[in-house]
Amino acid sequence: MNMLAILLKREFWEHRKTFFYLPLIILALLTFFLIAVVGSVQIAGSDIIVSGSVQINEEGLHHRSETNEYSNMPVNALFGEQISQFALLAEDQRERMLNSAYLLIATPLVPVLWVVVFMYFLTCLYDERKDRSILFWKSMPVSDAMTVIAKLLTGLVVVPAIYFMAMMLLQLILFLTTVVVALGYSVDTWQTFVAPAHIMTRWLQMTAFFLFLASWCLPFFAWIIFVSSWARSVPLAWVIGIPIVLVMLEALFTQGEWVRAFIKEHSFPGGLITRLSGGVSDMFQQLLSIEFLVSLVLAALLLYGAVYFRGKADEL
Amino acid sequence: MSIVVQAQGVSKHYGGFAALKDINFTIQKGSIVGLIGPNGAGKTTTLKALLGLTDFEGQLNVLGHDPRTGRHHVMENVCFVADVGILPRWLSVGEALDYVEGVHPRFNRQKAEALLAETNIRNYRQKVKQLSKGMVTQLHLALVMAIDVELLVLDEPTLGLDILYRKAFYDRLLNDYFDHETSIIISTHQVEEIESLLSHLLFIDQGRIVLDSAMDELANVFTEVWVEADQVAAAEALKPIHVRDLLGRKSMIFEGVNPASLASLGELHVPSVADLFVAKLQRNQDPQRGQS
Repeated sequence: MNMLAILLKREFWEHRKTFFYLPLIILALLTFFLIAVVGSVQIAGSDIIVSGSVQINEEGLHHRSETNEYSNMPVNALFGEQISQFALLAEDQRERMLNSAYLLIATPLVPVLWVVVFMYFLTCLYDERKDRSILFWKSMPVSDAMTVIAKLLTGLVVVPAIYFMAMMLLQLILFLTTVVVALGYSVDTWQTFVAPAHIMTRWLQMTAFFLFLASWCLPFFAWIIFVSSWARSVPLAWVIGIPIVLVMLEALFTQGEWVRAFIKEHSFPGGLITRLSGGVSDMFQQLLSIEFLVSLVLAALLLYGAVYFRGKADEL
Repeated sequence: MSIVVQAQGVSKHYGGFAALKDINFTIQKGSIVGLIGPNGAGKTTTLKALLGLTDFEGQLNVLGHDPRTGRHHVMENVCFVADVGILPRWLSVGEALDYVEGVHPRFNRQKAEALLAETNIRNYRQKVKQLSKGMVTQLHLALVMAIDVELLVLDEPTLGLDILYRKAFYDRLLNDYFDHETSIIISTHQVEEIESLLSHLLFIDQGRIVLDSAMDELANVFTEVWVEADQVAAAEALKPIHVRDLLGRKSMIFEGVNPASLASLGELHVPSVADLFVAKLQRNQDPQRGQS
């Protein structure tokens, strides 16, 4: 296990910029943005309305249902004069508005995380061949299987965990901001801001959701690692090109859409996410499906392939 | 003595090009083997094959493992330094130490730090890309020489280093590192530098082994004669493998000719490895030449 720890560290060292400094900078910028908003509301009394179109990522988890007027959020209601009106709203309305705010502050990190993990997997077994450092790595007593496992865990666990902490920190900062601001007004802070924020539940749900996505999209990530292990140039072209060819072949020679649907569902599972309205229990249901089993077998084969090609790999 | 490496019929093709053609050799425990050949002869390919860093055809046994399938077992007892820097550019000196310490059970960190203290590398936060080429090599050598292994593989280890450091490196290799339990393979095309170090010679040219001999047997097989001008015809009748002019005399190298029959031709010497290298390689490139 010491071996695995040092291998994970090594990945972190190589990608310190995108694994650590990038989320840190975004965290700082968003915090600054939040403080600027609060400041403008408090000092200038301005009332910015933040549009509620924030539910891109976790919309399925939080009752999308009735389009609500409160998803358009006057920030004044959270940080300004209108807090007292906000406090008078029904609890579910407050919950919805707060939910939008908590998603809004954390969401910018999600696409960044996706791109960072994608680029990491794309280069993880390619760059070492290109810069010849593979001769150094392979001259150490670390098996190819161990190497691939470490890289998989890095992209699927370590990096999301770091981004997660940044997201939680942002939500915590928002949480504390609402509480501190509310103390200046004569409202019941607990009832108005603390309880409806459901901060712990939110984090647990977020974690469950990401774990689910990581396993659901495993064949997608395994595919990128696989390509990275053998591509002699431009791995991105292969990563995108081969699935396109497969889909075209399917369209040409069969009536089915299975391959197309499978690729789409396991790389950009937008459709699936909207189906997950029931939260954790729905996710469980999906993980018990035959389709998920098939995707796991596929992912295992692709990872085995990556280990095989790492064994054969030479400098480029 | 036990055998550390055994190669039988090892070949390697890059597309249509045969880089290694049916290579056979064995390396005994405790020997220092010079793998010597011109650029492009197949030195690096041979070393990479026995380290499991490249695929090949034929049989190779390194410390009881097939390097193709058991690379990570082989690497527990083998270390490798390549001709050009293979340390990743983003790695810092401190990280390199941490990494090797973490993955290699036979790494001695104190020893590595002591070795580094004798180089120009001071700042452990420096990254490989900030180091000069010579410093990168020094870092890699310090890492490797702090690992207690059974076989050390050095592929042109001192390429790009200045002469002072090269001398110091080979001195240290012989005095501090080598303990007769270890075996060392050094590939180079600069023969003179390591001649005194070696216990065994392997000449390789165009993917073939053209000479495989222990150093102390060279004198039994090869004789260099400084032939006086009036003896040249008689000497050439004995088919020297190499002839060169030597201030009015000719220096000829004979293979497998009894020294007693050569003594009348001129002064006898043990040929230098460099001269032997030239002789064997010219023969390999033009088989007629040695016989003419």
